[in-house]
Amino acid sequence: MKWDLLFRYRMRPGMLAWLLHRISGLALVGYIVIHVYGLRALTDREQFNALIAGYHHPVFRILEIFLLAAVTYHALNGLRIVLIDFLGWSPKQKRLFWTLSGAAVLIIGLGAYPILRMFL
Amino acid sequence: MQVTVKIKRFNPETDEAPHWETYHVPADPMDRVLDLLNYIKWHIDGTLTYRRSCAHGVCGSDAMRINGENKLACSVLVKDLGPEITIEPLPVLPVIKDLVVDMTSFFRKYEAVKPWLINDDPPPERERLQSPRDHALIEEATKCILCGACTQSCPSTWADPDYLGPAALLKAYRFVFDSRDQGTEERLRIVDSNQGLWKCYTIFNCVEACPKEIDVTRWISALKRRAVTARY
Ligand code: SF4
Ligand code: FES
Repeated sequence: MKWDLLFRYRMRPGMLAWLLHRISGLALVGYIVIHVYGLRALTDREQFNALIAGYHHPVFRILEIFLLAAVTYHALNGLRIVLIDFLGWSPKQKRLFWTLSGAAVLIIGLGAYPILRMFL
Repeated sequence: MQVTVKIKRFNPETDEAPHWETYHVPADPMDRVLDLLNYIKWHIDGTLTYRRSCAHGVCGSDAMRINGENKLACSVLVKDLGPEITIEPLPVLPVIKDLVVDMTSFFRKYEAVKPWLINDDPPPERERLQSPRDHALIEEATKCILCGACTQSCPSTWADPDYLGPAALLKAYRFVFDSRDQGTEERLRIVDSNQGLWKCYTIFNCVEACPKEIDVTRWISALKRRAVTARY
């Protein structure tokens, strides 16, 4: 892979959409590992409560916003790819990208608001 | 107006690594990048090397990377680029000299999809006819001039030099969806693979790069659907 090209080649919405999809996808794979690891504690009540209590730490709250962002973007852009590949919406791909990105920002904002409010 | 042209130069016979060379060229906003290259070659530095033939967007020989994006030098105007223009060879192909790249791998991929009509029926007295409706399906795809701008713009090509790439897949589409062609099965066998259709992640760099404004991704998607439905 010529990594430098990813940043030196002219960034158009299509490549940006794909890069964000890749990055959010990899982040979600990382999250799944942590998530499943956490679930192992389910067998023990004490241990599980301790784990969940730990997740209330502000750092995890902030990370939760990132998780929401990754899931939202990945899902909506996934929908965009489905529309392109299954329904042939390729000519509308840019408008789709901006529309769905707008929707993603809205959803992330709505979800992040109650979390951020706790810090005020 | 005066434009500054930065060109990535490399002569494998004498240079260890590519280097940038800057030229100041008098230009008209309606000049094409090819005119700038010609000016440099004819008036400033005769050793500058690039391919061009038709100079009118027909032969496909002068695809290069202009201001970070693959384009045809003879089809892009100075007024659309601004006073600072950067020119490099097409990405990830071996450089023969300056802006001339070795297109062998590109044409191998083209040949791999059997870019000719496959039809075993005895030829009719006149040509094999096609209805306007059937032709409309493939018309855009027939406009490809094989410049290579699309295939070399694709991150999948950057990651895997053996990925068939948009130009070859577009050609496969052009014949699979040609009402006169009978080679669908053998062509699908080639493109329905990890280094074919399924390495297209709908990134759209090819569509942005194509000087003939072909919606390459649209036709690759149609071919994907064809490859999947052919299994059932
Ligand atoms: S599809 Fe467009 S960019 Fe690709 S080779 Fe053909 S003319 Fe060039
Ligand atoms: S010189 Fe023929 S396409 Fe540009």
